[in-house]
Amino acid sequence: MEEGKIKELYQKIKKDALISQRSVFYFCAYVPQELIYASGFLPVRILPSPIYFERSDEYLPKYLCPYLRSVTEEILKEEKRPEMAIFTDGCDSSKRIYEVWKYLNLSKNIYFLPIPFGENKEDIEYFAKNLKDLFYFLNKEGKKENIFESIKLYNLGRKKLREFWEFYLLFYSMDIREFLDLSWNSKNRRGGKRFYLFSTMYPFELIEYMESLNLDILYDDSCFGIRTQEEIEIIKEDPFYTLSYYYLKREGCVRRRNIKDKIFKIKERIKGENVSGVIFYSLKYCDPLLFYIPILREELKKENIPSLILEDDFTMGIKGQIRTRIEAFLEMVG
Amino acid sequence: MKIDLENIDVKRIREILRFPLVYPLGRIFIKLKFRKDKITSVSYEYALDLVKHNYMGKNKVVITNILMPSELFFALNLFPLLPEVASAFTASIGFADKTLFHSEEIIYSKDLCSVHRNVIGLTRGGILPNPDFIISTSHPCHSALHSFFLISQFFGGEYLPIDIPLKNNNFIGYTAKKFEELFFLLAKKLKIKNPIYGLERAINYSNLARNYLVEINELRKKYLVIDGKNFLDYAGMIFSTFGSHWGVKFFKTLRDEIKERIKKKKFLPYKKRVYWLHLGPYFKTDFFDWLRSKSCAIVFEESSKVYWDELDPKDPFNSLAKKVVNARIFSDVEERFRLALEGVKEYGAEGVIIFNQWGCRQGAGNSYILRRKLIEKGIPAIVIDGDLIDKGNFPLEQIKTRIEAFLEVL
Ligand code: SF4
Ligand code: SF4
Repeated sequence: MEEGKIKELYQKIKKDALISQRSVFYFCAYVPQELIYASGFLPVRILPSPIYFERSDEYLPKYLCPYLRSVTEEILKEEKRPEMAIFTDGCDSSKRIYEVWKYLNLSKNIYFLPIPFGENKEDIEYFAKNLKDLFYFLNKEGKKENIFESIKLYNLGRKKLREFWEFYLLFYSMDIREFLDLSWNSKNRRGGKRFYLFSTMYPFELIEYMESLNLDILYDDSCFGIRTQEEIEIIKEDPFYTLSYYYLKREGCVRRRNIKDKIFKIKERIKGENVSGVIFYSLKYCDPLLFYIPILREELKKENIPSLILEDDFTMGIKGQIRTRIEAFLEMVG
Repeated sequence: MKIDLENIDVKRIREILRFPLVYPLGRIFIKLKFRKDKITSVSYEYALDLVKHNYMGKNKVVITNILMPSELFFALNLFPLLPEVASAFTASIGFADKTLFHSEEIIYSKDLCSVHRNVIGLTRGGILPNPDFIISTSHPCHSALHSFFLISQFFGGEYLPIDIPLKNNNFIGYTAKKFEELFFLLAKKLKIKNPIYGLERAINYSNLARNYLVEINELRKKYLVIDGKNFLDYAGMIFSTFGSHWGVKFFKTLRDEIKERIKKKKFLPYKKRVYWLHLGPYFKTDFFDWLRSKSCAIVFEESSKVYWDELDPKDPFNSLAKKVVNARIFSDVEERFRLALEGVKEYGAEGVIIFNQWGCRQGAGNSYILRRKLIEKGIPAIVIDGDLIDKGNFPLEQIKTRIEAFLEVL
């Protein structure tokens, strides 16, 4: 499979998922695909294309997460009711947009998964209980043994992803068995300037546009990017505890307070890679990210790693500026 | 006396605040200046004590958020500083423009809640002391968790987040355990022996203050003697003084004042009555005077609701956990809807004003559907998109025009 076909295939998966009774939409990387798959459903991550906000403005103040607003806008425009959607309290926007979906009845089943910030034993147990509730909500007769099988499959998927991160989009959205059957040409790096991308959510079109400018994103450190690639280790017989432990402790999200670790990882990754700097795709109104970037940037400064902030609201309104901003940045870093 | 806020010498003021003599003198000044306004007098005396505890350099400084039980801190003789209270104060004296500006040296985005932008600016500018402990619950918002972490990274302080499984009574024990661990951890760090005595005292104070507030709220159902705008200002006292003798003193004074006004038949003459959700702008604005000039009073507010039961001194951690886990204010749409219905019914409100704080995703996120739900029930409701601190985000004239049309419907 060619790199250029990813989006095409993804669009098809998304379209089918909208009318499928087996699909579960999710938006946050704390939702374990393994669990959804083991319950007999297909986890489908929704990534909308940049869209003009029209219908969602009536229900959502514009200063909520533009990613979730775009998803909502897309669903409202499609006028289809997906079978199931899972929201989390990963951030304040998410917990409120969940309520709006409930009010508008945008999906036949809408589930809310609470996630703790803590990572101690009692927090892991608490999250494990929440995952268990989710599992049996999805399928009352679900067999928890299936979760281990599912973990194995997704671990294989993660291994496969190491070759080519652009396939994350498919990994998170298609049937894992079909994903494992995919074959693709390994990436031919373009030889343009290389960057490390840091964000929560960004539109796929950002990568396309950067590539059209001969700029190469070597690492994607976003919610569904490289920070999710660690494999799951079975640490207990209880699959819920195992999953809970993994999701709360992996490199993960900007909600985590592992700054030192994060800097270490960034340094390790870019070592010897001739990366020009870190690009922050700063998604407007995304609180966890907007509070995190200043801390990370300060640490990067100490390590002499240059960084650039591109602020956008998921509409790619920034497009016109990207070239000049990056040119100026490259001039500055020499 | 007019203070030149632009050229204020923060370092000098911080030095002055280390002198013990400042405080008795300050108290005399407050008592004299506000001898006819006991409510303001008590709240300023409390503020002075708060400053004394946190600026003299003798006590540990703790920053916390609005729904973290302040009882746990007063029990350990800590006077918690709350961003909302500090921000409201700076905004009310017209200083927030400067502190918000200071915050931009650290956070580049103006899209974050101005309460937290302001508190970062206050710490950056040295106006708030660098904290020793930074403690926040995950409810009502995550802004505190994020901004406090940032403060701990830039200015130091031990960061201690507390997860609240909102409305999940199966997890009261989980939260209670967190409170208990935190309490004993702090007690150990502060070298306090038998901290539980302090906690008993704090719980008793908290219950006394609560009883006064319950009484106040009951009186307000029948008599309109103080406009709700004042209660929006008292929210800081509700969030930060429970567990201290100041809380008891303040709410007793307020209760007495209300009774006195009722006795003297000092009823407010306003014809239109509204219920107010969320907090209100704290910077200088003629908005509330204008509202009164339209004969409209705020009869009750989300922030004044007593949503918790009396605390059990024998089971302090569990009862504090119950209080927070079941917090009804600043909550989900169903809870806010029920609160608004109660407010309308019990306080005779004819309509609801939902105030949105720019950047407050948790508060604003459900406001549009909340308005729709109220209207579906036949209750006029309006959403104002504004700001508590940053007057740049408060389009006054436009808001007045919209409210005027709204009042006509009532
Ligand atoms: S974390 Fe950021 S991108 Fe994710 S849902 Fe929340 S606001 Fe949106
Ligand atoms: S206004 Fe909203 S976001 Fe800001 S501190 Fe209060 S609850 Fe949190």
